[in-house]
Amino acid sequence: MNVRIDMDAPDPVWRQIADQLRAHLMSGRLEPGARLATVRELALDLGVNHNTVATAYNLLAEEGFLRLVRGVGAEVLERPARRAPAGEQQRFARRLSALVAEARAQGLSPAALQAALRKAAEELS
Amino acid sequence: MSDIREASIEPGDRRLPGGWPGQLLPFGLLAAGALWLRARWDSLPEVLPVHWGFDGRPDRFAPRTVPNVALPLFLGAGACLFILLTVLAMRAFAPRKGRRAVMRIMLGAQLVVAGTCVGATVLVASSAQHVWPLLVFVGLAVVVLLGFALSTTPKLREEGALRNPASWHGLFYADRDDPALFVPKRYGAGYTLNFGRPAAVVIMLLLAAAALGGLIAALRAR
Repeated sequence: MNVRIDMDAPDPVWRQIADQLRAHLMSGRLEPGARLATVRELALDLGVNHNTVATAYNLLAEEGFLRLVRGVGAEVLERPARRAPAGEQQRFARRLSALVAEARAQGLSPAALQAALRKAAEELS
Repeated sequence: MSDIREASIEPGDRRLPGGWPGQLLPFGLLAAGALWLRARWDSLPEVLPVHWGFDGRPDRFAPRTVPNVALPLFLGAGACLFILLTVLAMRAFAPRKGRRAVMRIMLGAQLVVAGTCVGATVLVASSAQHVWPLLVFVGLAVVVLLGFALSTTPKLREEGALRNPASWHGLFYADRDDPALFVPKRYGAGYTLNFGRPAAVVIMLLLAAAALGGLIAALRAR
């Protein structure tokens, strides 16, 4: 399982790392108790500052996905399913609309977007 | 050129090839050579050969002193220590991909160096009339090491996945924001230094000083 970052992308690197780790975690590919690469290992492999990786790990720890152990690394936690807070669906729909509009502006076809959305939903279900 | 980077999120393998016993084996060989030398020191001739000519015959002799006889062991210990420190630095400051293969080759190099230095000491201490046995050993060891290197070194860099393209200046890599001290070479297998890290400059200065010191010592010995 890898993370892949694009240094030229508008999204900050820490967010790219956090988003991909969260996708791995939500897909169930990383089971509770599994260990992740340490902040240092990932920073060395990606050639980015330690703080960049640490920010991503801290965010996922705050979200309840990881337990950070100094000197050992990050451990995947059992995370109970949460009830979506009120308005979360509308917030997601707004973000998705903006993302779809951006992708359409870049030239992606509706069929390609549908396929990508279906694939993402299948991976996370 | 786009700058896409990829890394495994699984924990890395931090073990040293052969573990600590394996890493200390070359020093054990050198220590065994030193003990062998000590055991027969009093029975050695007062004058010993210390240099062999192109015909394989000894052409220079020196009195039996510790520096004259045990010099190969000291040089071997220094070289093995340098390689060991490099391996430890790589474990701490190099990206994981291909790292273990390079560390294995470096352990092989340590063994070749230690074996060669013990062999040279035996050559001196036994007043050998021929240098060929040692040359044959070194030649075979280097061939085996090269074969091992070629067979075990994975392709460290996949096509089109050059690390941080903007930070390469010819064959040199420099990026202050990259925490890695060792980075995969631009061409071929193995690592090069990240000159954006002050430690890389210190290492190069130390190597240059060691080379200069060796050159001066060799010239003075003549």
